[in-house]
Amino acid sequence: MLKSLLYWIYQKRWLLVAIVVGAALYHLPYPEGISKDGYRTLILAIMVVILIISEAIPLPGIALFIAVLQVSFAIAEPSEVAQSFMSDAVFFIMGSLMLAVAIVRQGLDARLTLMILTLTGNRVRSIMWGFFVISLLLTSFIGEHTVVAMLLPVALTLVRSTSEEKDDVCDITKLLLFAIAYGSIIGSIGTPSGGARNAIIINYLSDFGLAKVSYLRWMAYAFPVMLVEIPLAGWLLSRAFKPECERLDGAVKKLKSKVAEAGPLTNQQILAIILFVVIFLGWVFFSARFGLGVIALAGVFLYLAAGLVQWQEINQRTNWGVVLFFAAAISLGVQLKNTGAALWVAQQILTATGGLLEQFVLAQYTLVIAFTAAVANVMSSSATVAVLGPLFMNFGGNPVLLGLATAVSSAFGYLTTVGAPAGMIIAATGLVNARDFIRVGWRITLASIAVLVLALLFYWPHI
Amino acid sequence: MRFLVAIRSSTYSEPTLQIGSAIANAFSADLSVVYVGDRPKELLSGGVHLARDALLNWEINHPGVDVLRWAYRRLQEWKFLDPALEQFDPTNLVQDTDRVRVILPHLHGEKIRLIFREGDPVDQLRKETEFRDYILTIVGGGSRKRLTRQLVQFVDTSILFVKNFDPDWNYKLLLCVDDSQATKRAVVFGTRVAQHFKAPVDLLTVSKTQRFGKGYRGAAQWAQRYMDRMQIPYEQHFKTGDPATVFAESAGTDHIIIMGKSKMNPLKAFFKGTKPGDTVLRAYGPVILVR
Repeated sequence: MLKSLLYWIYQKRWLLVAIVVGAALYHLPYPEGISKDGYRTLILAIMVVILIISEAIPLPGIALFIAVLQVSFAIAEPSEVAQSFMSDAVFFIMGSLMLAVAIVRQGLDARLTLMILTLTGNRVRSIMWGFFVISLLLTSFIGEHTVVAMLLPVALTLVRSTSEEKDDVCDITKLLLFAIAYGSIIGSIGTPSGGARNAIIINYLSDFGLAKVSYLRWMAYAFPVMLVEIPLAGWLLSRAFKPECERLDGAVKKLKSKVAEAGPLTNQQILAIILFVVIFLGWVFFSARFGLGVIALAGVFLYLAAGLVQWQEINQRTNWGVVLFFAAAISLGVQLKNTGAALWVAQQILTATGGLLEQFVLAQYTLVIAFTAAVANVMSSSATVAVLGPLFMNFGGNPVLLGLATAVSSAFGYLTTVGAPAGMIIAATGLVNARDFIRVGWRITLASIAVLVLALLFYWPHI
Repeated sequence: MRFLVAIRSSTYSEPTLQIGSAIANAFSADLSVVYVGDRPKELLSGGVHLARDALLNWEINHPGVDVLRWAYRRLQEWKFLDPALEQFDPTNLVQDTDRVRVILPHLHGEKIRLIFREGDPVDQLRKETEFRDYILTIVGGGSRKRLTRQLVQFVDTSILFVKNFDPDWNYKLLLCVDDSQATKRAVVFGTRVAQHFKAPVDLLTVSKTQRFGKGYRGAAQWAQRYMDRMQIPYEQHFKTGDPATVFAESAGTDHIIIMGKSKMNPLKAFFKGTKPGDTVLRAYGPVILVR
């Protein structure tokens, strides 16, 4: 009995830590300059961050915890909490998760393979660049996990056709997998539909009355940053691993013949592509009016109506817990802003640095970007934006630029397996490990931070 | 009788699987091989599952299934399983609540089970041993302090830690005898292993002081009588010092240490550790802790 209790306590230690920290802060004298609601929201945010990082309870549990404590702490009325749980960003997350299922099941990966190999030829480094650039371009428009799910089997089949012994093709494998993962991560910066984090910041900017950022306006800010990162990150990646051989003639031939068995594009596949183009055009031209989320949901509707995917498949393969979690995290972010908690924390940091951050804009930008990137590598990008977005928008500078910088830098999850969905997916193959992420990731992280800081200083203010 | 072997990769788990199959043979026990892999972070798990579905369409299996296939082939090579049996079918999987089982139709209900799980190793092994009634759990490692202590304390079976395993099996047995409740079970277990592998036995009793109390002497005498009765050749030793250190030093690399699992107060064991746990951490070779 005692042993079981001890085991439970050990397993749930971070939940208990979160509760103890929360209870202690709740009963301590409240600091000056922050409202009661704001301070309680801050306590809730601290508890939630502990729970997200430790995964002490399932994600939907954290979502429910946020809802219950917002009401119990008297931060907001029940109906207000319920309303704040649903927004266009949540619709977008829901829609993009469902679209991922619909797109992946179309079997377009074989077509992509042919396209990549036709463009690159058989040289390993060319193939790496092919995977890197294609995943980068695709993730500008489709969620990164969708792209990785389509390209990963192709890369692994190519590697396995080269040698059955994993050790013989260890560096080729890593080179191709990181090309897909990092290409997808960098690509997701370029457009609002690249990732949930972008939709969350657009939502915050709109809800807080700061700016309405359209699809094309986002691209004007972020796409050039992405373009600069392509050669830089690709070059750094290509130097990180030394492929065991120069060419993959046999493997490419085998793969091409395997892909050729699939035959020409089916009507269903053509329709799937047309529908996706329609969705994309909808995002570009109508998201300002209808919102990214509603258009994503319209896309899912079209796929369902056309019979390209069954609801059962979507229902089974969509992680609804993640949708619930982001609904709660965004609700918490909104409360951090509304109660003044985010402003208070930002002011404390600015005061603690003795006005240094206000005087030297370079230091301010570097701190925002580096801190967001660091937290994203622990907590994952979208969760980081949901919590840090409201904070950094109050950091004294231009809130729109700081918000955008937070979203873009949260994509720099190159250092760990949990920083981005793409990293997690390639790590789950068991063919790359945490050390590999650090080995390649630190250079690309530093380069990405430098590029973004320069963009913030010299490019973004002029748009 | 069922034994559980926990494996993690084809590169590092071969000794664990080899000793596991040999011991299971010695006891005519059924063997379950469980692969315990990392669980993807929940926030990102949707993408991982989507990618795994896509990989299956290209006939690329979950890495855990590949490791289990490797284990299956190895067991056939070592003749633990009939080499003439059908090949492993990686698509024949059954999802239980929190584990996946590979179906082996030709071996239904017999000798071998292949399972994969994802998550914290201690938690998953604990759940697996709660799911089925295992006598012995066989794991690799035994060098990481926190993991070893947790396995010793929270997995409610006997445990074999496979450290620096010699595949030629040039082992003697070191039976650690003291006044603890589990000593008798450890001696009986050790005797069975000694009989099967025809391994010489050393009985060792260690006291922290120069004086060997009544309990220690009584236990040593009982072990001696049991060895005589089972006609196992043995040598008996009495030494003084820190028990965990003396057991590890006396065993060296050419003994398998067999000792009882501690019945110490769980709270004390959690914070201070136990003699068996410390012995595992200091040992240079395999250690069996008998529950």
